[in-house]
Amino acid sequence: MMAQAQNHAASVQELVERFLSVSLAQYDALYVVDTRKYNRLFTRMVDIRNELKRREADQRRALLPLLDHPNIQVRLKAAITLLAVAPDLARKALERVRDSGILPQSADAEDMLEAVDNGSYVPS
Amino acid sequence: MQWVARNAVRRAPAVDAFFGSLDQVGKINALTDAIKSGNDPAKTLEELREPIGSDSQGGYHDHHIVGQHPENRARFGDSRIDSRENQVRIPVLKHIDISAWYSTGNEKFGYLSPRDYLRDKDRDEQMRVGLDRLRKSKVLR
Repeated sequence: MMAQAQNHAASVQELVERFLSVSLAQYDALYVVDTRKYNRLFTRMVDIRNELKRREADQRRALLPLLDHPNIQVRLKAAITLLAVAPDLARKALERVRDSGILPQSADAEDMLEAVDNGSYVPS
Repeated sequence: MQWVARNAVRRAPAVDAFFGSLDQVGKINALTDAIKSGNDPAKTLEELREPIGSDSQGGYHDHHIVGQHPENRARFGDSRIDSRENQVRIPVLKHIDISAWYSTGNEKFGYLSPRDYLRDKDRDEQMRVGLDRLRKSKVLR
């Protein structure tokens, strides 16, 4: 609840910075297989996404620069978030993550592309 | 190789469960075995199932495709869960990664972890998801 309140008060740029910071922390948590920490970070990311979406004119587009970030987890999570608002760019980013062969992100990107194609995941 | 190097130096509860109880020589041997098996190419399902039931091998874990947690054991029975059909012998580091994937939140599964998503699914669906992850993790071809 406190994190949600902080997100409400944050600027769009601050939310983008939080998204980046959480993505990098997720990468580190995956690296050492710390699933508890990853799950806490996953919840924080969902909150940030929801806050960006709630802003006037849906500010998830502010994450577009992260599609070119050097960290693969950042690119993966930005692309998943952007599927609803910039599907072509998001899809190309997911294809690049999939084709990198870097696990586990490449597997997650492949999973998401398949889910979008078969309709089991509908970006919203 | 980069993947092996990254994974071989991990220090976390999941990894400690594998390496933590060993003495120093044992740890070096286990690490060497993990690096070796991490370089395995993807195999067919038959190849992955074939060693099940034989002595354990360094660098490998036996993985249950349909999870062996108590709910599944109650629903499907021990004999099906522990059957040869439901187990594959896979590189230990891939096993650690796949187990972690089952436990972490995932957009594709309605923000649930795959394990929670699959909790009320039938055995066929659990098998389908399990084989799919083995394929995408480059364990199964």
